[in-house]
Amino acid sequence: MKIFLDNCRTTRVVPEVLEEIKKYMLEKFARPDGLYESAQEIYDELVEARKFFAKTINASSEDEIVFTSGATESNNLALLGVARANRKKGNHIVISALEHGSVMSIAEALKREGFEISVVPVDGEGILRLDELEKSLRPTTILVSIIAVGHFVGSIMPLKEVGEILSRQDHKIYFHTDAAEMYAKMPIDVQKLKIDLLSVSGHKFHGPKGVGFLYVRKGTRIEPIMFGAEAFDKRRPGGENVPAIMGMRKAAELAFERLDETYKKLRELQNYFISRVENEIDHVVLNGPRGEKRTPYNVNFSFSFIEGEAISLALSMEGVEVATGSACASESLEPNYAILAIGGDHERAHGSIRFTFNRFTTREEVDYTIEKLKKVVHWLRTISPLKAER
Amino acid sequence: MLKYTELVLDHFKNPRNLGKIENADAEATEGSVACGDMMTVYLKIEDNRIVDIKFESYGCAANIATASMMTEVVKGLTLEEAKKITWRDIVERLGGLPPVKYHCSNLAIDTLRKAIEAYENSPVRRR
Repeated sequence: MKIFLDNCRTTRVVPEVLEEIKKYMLEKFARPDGLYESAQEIYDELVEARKFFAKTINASSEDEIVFTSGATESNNLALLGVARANRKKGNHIVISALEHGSVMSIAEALKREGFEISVVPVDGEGILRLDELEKSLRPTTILVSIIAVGHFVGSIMPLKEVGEILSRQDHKIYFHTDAAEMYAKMPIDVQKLKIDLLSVSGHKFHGPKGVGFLYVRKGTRIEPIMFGAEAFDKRRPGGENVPAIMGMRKAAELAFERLDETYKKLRELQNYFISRVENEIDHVVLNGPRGEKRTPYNVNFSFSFIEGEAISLALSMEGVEVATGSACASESLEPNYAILAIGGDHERAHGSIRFTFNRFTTREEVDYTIEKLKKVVHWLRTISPLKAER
Repeated sequence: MLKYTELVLDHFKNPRNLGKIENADAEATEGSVACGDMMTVYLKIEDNRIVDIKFESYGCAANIATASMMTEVVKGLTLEEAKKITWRDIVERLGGLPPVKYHCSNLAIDTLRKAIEAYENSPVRRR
């Protein structure tokens, strides 16, 4: 039995999506920038796809959707593009302490370009500190980027409140959110949330890898970050990955059709998982919030006295694939920043394991995982020198 | 992506000489929880020779596997011989480790040396 519970990293493509991709690879393979009939047909279909994506987030026009290679590129275009285009207005950018690694890296790159970066802390549950956000804003702030869902600890960020705070400022501050863990899993309304830019990745909801989009509100001053021959969208030159875009569209259609049903099912499964682990394994800490403040797709526990890489590898040998916040599983050997950001110490970071669901995750898979987890945690604790301290 | 050899995975899954020696002649603990790696090594010594060795580990797969291999290598050696075993010897016996894991695998040799040192400096032995 193999159970994949690292769905925050990626999800499997579903057969309907694969069929769609195949169709646009084998039959409808023209590029949209030709003058002939098949190119025009693809052009129109891309416009339709844009309309569809615009509708899913309540954007006002399909022109506000820019296809990219995924959320990392969307984040690059959003942050670099807006920062560079608005440099004369200010050089200050604000991000949260739980941003995805790509946003953290872009912020570092912007620092090297002379921008000033403020990192707003989160509370013990991983929720953005709104008071700290307000304090961080300056007359020179041009952009605030807040991740929609803390991808490691599952915390849903107060996007509506962020949008309101920013809209109350005397000058325009663009609001970007990396919604890779929210789009097609929860409703998002860019009007209600006052979001100006929003990043999405197709592979997070059973679409293909290497495709995504960036929503850019009309009127946003943004520079392209790549240059090339004029294409479908000037903000992102190069031949569009049409099969992937159409696959992503199909994946989003399927996800949105059952959004509420999936949310409810996974919330029940999440509560069941959390309660069983807390009742059946001692010395565990749930990282991140409980209830409605947490995405139903994520469970993250730290297991005391043992190390995360060993837990994840032992689980993998039992057929359960998960992610760990252990420094030993990363190239940097730095403890997981998300656990430290919510106030956890190094031991809590080293022993953290993230279980992330998809809409096909079943009770049987969760039961199997819990049984294997109990076995692995028990085994590693028997060999740990820390047991005497328990 | 970290990739371990089959032998490393085998030693991780089935660590040799795991556990604690009651009334050990020497023991040492190295590393810390904060670092993410911690290990205790227990030695039973007769006529200056390691006749039994066991370990406990709070650490990753590389840490557990190198400790396991280290115990296999040094069991039966004299203290002088054991002191000459290097981290590189153990890693080579395991068929290599991802470079980023070298740091985690050093702990086995460090803890062994510390345990031998503890034995050599113990007042009981000096008598």
